[in-house]
Amino acid sequence: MAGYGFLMMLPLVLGHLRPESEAMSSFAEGVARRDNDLEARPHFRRAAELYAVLREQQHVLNPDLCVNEGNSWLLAGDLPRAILAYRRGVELDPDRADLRHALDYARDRVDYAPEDRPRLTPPPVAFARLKSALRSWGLVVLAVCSAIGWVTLTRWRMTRERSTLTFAAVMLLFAVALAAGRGYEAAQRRRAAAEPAAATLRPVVLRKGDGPSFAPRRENPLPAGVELTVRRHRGAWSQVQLADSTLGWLPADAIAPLGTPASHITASP
Amino acid sequence: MLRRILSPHESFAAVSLVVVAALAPASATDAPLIGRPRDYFFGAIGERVRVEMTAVPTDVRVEDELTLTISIRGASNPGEIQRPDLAQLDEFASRFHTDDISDGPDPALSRGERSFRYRLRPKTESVKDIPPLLFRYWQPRLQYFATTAPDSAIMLTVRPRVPAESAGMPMQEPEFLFQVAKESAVLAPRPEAHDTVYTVLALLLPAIVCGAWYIWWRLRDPNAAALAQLRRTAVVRGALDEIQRVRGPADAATAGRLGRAILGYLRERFGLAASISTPAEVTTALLRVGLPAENLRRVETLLRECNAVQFGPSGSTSETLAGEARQLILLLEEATWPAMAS
Repeated sequence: MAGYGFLMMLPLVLGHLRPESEAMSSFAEGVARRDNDLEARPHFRRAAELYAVLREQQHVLNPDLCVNEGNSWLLAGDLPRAILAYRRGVELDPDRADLRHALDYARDRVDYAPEDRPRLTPPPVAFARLKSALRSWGLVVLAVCSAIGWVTLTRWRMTRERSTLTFAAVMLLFAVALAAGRGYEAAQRRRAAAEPAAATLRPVVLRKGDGPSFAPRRENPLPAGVELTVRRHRGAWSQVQLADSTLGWLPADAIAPLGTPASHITASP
Repeated sequence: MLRRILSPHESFAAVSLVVVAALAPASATDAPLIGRPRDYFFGAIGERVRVEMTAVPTDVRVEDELTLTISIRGASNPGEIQRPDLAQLDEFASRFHTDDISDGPDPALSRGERSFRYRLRPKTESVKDIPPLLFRYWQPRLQYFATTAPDSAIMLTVRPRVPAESAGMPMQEPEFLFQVAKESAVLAPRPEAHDTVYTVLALLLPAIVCGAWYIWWRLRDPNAAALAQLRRTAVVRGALDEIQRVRGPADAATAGRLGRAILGYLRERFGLAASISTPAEVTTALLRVGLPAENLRRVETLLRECNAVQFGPSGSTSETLAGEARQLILLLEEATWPAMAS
């Protein structure tokens, strides 16, 4: 048995553990030390960094990776990066309940001023339930309606009975409407994903211009974790748009884009 | 001296008040208003009032709590002594955050003493002591406001705050955050979006299958296909639907319906006048349309058969009347619109 144990430890000893395995063990180590946050958080941070490296350098991206990365960042105390990770996951699979729940939880933890929370929190997706139903059951219903519609239409061609024509028309119209709805919903998601989204990494003052000498745009500074859209860059400053359509400027190093490059995330041992 | 500062009238009034105050009987319940100090007088009256202060603990960290007790002895009116508000006294306010502790019934009162308790929190580690509380009281016998204080300050050892970083706490995050996907799931390929392809397939694949079915049906049963073509005309469809409803052997009633259906069809299709109703009239009218003679004969024969069954002896029927009617319509359509019928 001792020999087997040594064999299992061999990759760790040689330092050849793959990032995903090392991330999992770091996370497990953090969970084991959760009674002391000072000891646990560095392990969660390490796990999050490794997941980020996996995503950026090995181009792995799927909802489960996003869940793991988001949970790790959140447990490491890095709320903005957790929000970004969850958002990546939701974009990949909008119907994953655990991702949506985690994203809502993370958004709730952003330290907004009470009057800012409703204005700066990203608005909920319009007709979310309908869209979710379209994504999950739309294709099946569409296929059934289309099949029934075409079969009935063919029967009408054979029998020329007017009632069958009406039924076929209704079915085919419904199928076409479903197809159009699905296409529109997919296009909307593509458009949203193409938006250069970002989040503030630290509390920062939104300014009217691209420099610290410009007056603040808002009375309250933006807390860490505010989701926004980057409009353009000028030097070390970025023009951003908040959820309430307020335009302003932030230092570029105070925001992390949704597609955060991992270059600044050191996978230090 | 008084005359140099005050006017003669004011001097007179002040001297009168002092005299009145001095002559007033000394009591334990009140002290003269004239000359009463604004600070550090809390209403105590007595011959020899003493103040003591104790603090527990004296070794604390910044912002840690300690309890300060101020005891006043020797006052003749312990129940009337007001609580010193340490937060209003600079020497205390600059050093401590002060919270009053509810005194409740003071057991020291029964001994003729009074005590007040405070919860103090040193603001900085530069706080070295609790300063002695200056305490003024009215000395009724000597008629003046005397001042007393504890013998010395209470020395404190105030150490820096415990940095939050050095004290670990259990993590309070919700349980779902501690659950992660397995390693194999993490490495799964990115889900590709085939929505558009699937949607188009769902919409058009049944059409292709049904198209193939339709072609196969036409090849397998050309007559049925021709009939289906003919049913595109409302007149033909109406007549055929009516004929279709007559099932089994035709009796008088159904023969009448068949006859009316054929007549209706001929009127609509070939523009026959509404007054034409007998087989002979129909044949004559159709002759003008240019239908083949053989078809005309079949029309006349069929109409006569319908009439025979309808108006013949009771119980007469025909097995083939409906089929013949259907066949006649097909023949007429083929004769007048051969391309479509074929």
